[in-house]
Amino acid sequence: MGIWSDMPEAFPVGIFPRSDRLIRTWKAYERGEVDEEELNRVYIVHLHEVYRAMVDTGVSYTHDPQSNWHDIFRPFTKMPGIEAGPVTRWYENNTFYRMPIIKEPRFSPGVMDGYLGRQVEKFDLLSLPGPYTMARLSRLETGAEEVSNLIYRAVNYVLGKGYRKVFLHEPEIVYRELDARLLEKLYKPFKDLDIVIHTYFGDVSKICRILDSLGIDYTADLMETPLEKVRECKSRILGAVDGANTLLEDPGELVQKIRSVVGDEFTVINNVDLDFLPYSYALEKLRLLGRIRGGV
Amino acid sequence: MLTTQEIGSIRKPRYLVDKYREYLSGETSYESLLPYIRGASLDTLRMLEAAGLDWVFDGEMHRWEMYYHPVVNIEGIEIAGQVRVWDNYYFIKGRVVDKPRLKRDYHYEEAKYIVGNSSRPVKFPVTGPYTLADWSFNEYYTRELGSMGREARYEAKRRLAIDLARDVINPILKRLSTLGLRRIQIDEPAATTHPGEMDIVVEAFREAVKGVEKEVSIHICYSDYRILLPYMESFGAVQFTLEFANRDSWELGVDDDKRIGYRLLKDLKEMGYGLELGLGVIDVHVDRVEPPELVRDRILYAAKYIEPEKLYINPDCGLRTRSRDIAYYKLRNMVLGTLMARERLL
Repeated sequence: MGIWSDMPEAFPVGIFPRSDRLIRTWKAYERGEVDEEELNRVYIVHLHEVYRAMVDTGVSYTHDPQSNWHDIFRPFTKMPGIEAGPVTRWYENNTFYRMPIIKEPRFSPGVMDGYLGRQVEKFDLLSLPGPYTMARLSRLETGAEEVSNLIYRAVNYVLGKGYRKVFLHEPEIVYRELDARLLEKLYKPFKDLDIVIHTYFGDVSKICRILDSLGIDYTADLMETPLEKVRECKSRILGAVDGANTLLEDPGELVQKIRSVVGDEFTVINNVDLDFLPYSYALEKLRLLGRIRGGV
Repeated sequence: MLTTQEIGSIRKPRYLVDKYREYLSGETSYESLLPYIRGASLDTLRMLEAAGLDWVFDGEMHRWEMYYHPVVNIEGIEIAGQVRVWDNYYFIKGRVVDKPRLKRDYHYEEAKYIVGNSSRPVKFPVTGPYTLADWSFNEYYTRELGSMGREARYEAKRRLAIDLARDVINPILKRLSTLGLRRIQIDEPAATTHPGEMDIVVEAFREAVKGVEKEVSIHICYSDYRILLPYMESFGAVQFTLEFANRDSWELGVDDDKRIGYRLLKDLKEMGYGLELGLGVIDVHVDRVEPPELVRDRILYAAKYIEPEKLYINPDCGLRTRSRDIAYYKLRNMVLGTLMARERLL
């Protein structure tokens, strides 16, 4: 994606962690010690800080930190016809989400607006749940197509708000055996939209022929997908920076390693949300992505 | 028969939390904190004895938290910061920057104090090596082996867990076994998080208890126990202490349709499970107090599948999630319900 230069494109994807100050304020808000206005004020400061950090590090694109999302499904569970259900483990992590209980879902622009950082800063990218993963991880009391319709409306809405591209999080398609027919059905309406199917927690090389046939860009999690197997896929958006470990990769070594296997044209992202890290380490990973982009 | 026990944590009294915060922010010394810890420890022991438990503990008053307490006493692990668990709930997570070594035996004095001040047998919980490994950022071993690829990450996790088991947990357990504890319980809430790493969980447990001359049980909660079943016999633990009540209905009765949270027991019987079972009969996530009759029926149902002599009765998990008052009422009713079940089974 984007214009090719001699160094790879590099940018963050997914939910960015809350700063310690935002966590503290949010706790105080939950205890009734500060009001919503104060919480919003601190959140806006956080958005400015993260935006400035992204711009200063020189990453190719800025991504909305979405730090007021409790999990990837949360704005949707506030929309009509969807509820936040039981706390449920998020794959193989010590992280949990509220399982959506989906009855008759209706997209709500008003709810969505409250979760968009672009109301404050001009972020380029946004993450949303992919329809396949959302359908599979929810308690569905309606058809999966309703989830697809909901996300389709959300994608159109946020693109209309000025986001340049939306990453649809689809760990489910690589974590468990894929229902290819369902995937195709759910993605039918999305073909001409500026989206990327974001895969992680599994080896995408096993299903990349299916994804290639969809005609939609997708990402590969290099912690799970062998680098040499990526050559068999069309995708060159590579989750090469480990978003779940504080260990900082050597940017030169990393780029060289990838280049030696897949050639010159590729994009580097974090494989999973930087929300798995404390705020200060997420900022370090951001700088790392900036250094990859800047050729340092 | 039907020995009653708690699991580990009880909510700390406000005065202790405040004092801990002063200590953690460097405003006060450990020497100033210790009398508050000891006071809360005695209060909690008396509370559990008053509830009528057969085996007791002090509710982790000597520990800020089950992960933080060990890692600040392990060389090679540094505190990284807060990481989200869900919503706005966070836990403090460490980075493994070097081979882990025991800096200070963080349980010996605690256990000695509790044993010396309890009128009942003490079961003593210790956070297990696999959970410590899984909840830490594994920098040191990842640097050696690389992070790309499942095999490399598996091996990095294995080496960290085994080193923690051998060089940190094992020496602690050996010293603990010289005290008058009735039993040591290894807590491994992360055990089934990665189904592909169950071999590591077992290997680390066995390494941790090697040469320990004391009965050791294992507590695993909020997990997919189907992942655990094939491995249970290989741990070498005397007891699995598991959570059930959280999954169960509140209706009285001993039939399958009432005891939906205890279906695993059939699987255990079918596989010929012959160890002791710590049966979770109290839900630690709700304030509603289980009536003794519900506890009784849960036990009677379990007795259809597990010999009563091998059943131990406990809450699903530590009761720090509830106020101390609620915790007391829940434990008291647990004991009353157990007495009712004993009468029926004798």
